Amino acid sequence: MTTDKNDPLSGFFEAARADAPQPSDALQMRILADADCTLAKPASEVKPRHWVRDLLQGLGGWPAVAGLATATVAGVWIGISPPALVDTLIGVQTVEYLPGFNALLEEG
Amino acid sequence: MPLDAMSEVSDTALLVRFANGDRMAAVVLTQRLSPRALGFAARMLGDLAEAEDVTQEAMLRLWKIAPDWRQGEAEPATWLYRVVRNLCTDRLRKARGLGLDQIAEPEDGTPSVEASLIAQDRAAALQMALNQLPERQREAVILRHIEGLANPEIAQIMEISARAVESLTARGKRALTAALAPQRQELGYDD
Repeated sequence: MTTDKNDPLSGFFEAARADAPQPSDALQMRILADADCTLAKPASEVKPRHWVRDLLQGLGGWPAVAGLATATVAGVWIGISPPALVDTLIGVQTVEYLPGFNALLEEG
Repeated sequence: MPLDAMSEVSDTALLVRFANGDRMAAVVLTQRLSPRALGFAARMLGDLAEAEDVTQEAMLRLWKIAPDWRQGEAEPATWLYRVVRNLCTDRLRKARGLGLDQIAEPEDGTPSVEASLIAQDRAAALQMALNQLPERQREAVILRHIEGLANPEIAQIMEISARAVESLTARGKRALTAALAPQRQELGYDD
């Protein structure tokens, strides 16, 4: 840094620059310890895993779960009230487990 | 990457390396930036122990922001000066609340006549005069004349215009000149 000899303060500034404090070894160790902690990231900062999230990921995420739910509802519906085509295809006499269910639906 | 090879790497690149888990980058950044942070804080606060705490806190904030560092914005050194400035301002405000009686006085007010000690005495006298300056003038004078920064960088640190930096520096220097004038002879000046 250049100094202006006509500046009455230049000698003071020079002296201050020469007398600049240097970080002690202890301070540098403290700073580096903080850096290590930041790199390591304490366990408390890591979000805990949740079993619901794990299950969702295992199934393929929300779209897959929506498909599964639709298939489940359709399956229950067909089970309760099988369309005539199902009876024809499988060639068996179906038993109505809820005999009044269809009538109830028609009445609303 | 070995320590020597990092001497040419920019502060920003080192910060990115640190964010990616390179501890050696933290060592180099500490060597480069902590003396600057400590020097500025020590001049602002006039207390080395407090300046060390401020330096550690500022560096910790740098480590924490590393993963989110946006390249192309401020230089890490400029950002660090700004953090040090804010931390010092907080501490000075708290100290003002304590009153002047609790601000440490120099151990010995009599400047030494030994030639080897004149430089130290000048630095001490300057520090006492700096402590009397309004905070913003003190910041501007330290950053310009002791840390050796250019006005545009100081403007970034202080979040003011370069013209305002010039004005603060000029007023600060006038006040320092007046404060130090009575001591010039005993501090080795012939006038």
